[in-house]
Amino acid sequence: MATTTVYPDPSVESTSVDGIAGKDGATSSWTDLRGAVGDVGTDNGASLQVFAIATTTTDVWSRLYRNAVLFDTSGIDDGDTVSAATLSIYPTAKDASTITVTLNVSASNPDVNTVIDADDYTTSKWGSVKFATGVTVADISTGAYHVFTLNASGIAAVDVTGISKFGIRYEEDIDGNTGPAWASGGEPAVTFSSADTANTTQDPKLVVTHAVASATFVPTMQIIM
Amino acid sequence: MKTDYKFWYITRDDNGFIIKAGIRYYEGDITTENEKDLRTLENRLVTRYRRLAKLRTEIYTTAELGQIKDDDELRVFINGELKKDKTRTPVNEQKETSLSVLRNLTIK
Repeated sequence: MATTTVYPDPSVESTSVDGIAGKDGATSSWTDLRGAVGDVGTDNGASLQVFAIATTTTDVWSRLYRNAVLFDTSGIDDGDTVSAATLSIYPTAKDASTITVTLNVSASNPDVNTVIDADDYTTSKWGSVKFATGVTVADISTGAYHVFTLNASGIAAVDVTGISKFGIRYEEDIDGNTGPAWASGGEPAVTFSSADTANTTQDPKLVVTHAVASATFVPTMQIIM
Repeated sequence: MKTDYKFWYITRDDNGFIIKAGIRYYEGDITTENEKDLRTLENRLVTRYRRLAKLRTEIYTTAELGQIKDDDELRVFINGELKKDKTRTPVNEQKETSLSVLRNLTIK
């Protein structure tokens, strides 16, 4: 088994990207906030952030950030089979807030593989399946990598011939069934390093365990007369 | 003008040896520009290194790397490659070519 560790491109992007697409200034329910048209987009800052803001009006929310993290996994040999994968982020700050939310990984599908902008907030560009066991903002540690071990759905999202597209989001956004329990003025947030950060020690990374697909052995018998 | 690199991918064999590494080289500079604060969404001036152009992508194999296992050994090798660029200066974080010194600098 070989392992390949893959990183998103910083700006200036070549084949992949990481960035934030978000909605700010809403006065809406969690459901409507998720379905809103985005107005925040950036892919060249040194940090990424998962963020939600509850207003002081009961069950009214004003902001939600989604993070797309894309990896060019084409360096893995075509035809290799993937048996395991982890996705790691390096949190640098957090606000556990009075609202309990859980960080997790999903699929993402921005319009362009090298750009994240506000248009990419559209819910249809994000997966609704959780790819790992989540971690609450209260429990996540800063100053060290947090490793999400991908489940079968997450492993299936690794594309050894092209770009593997993931999202770092709140579970309450991914499944979309029920929002987090609202609390007045709550602002749960996790800030983590992007590929644009200095050096190579804090970038998001995807570690893929893979092997050459075994050839099927078909025994044949020859009768020599 | 400054220069730096970023890892694209690093492949290791069964024994953990690095057998292939894709590296992207950039040029850039330390500039002061308006950036939107993610929390307040207000513009603020931020001074930091910004990449302005990708210079090239290199795929290194054991032919260039030899028998190395960890990221810091790879960094030392690539820091040495960066130094060969006589028209640009490596960023401060990627100047060290001594493994023992670099290991003390690297955030684990």
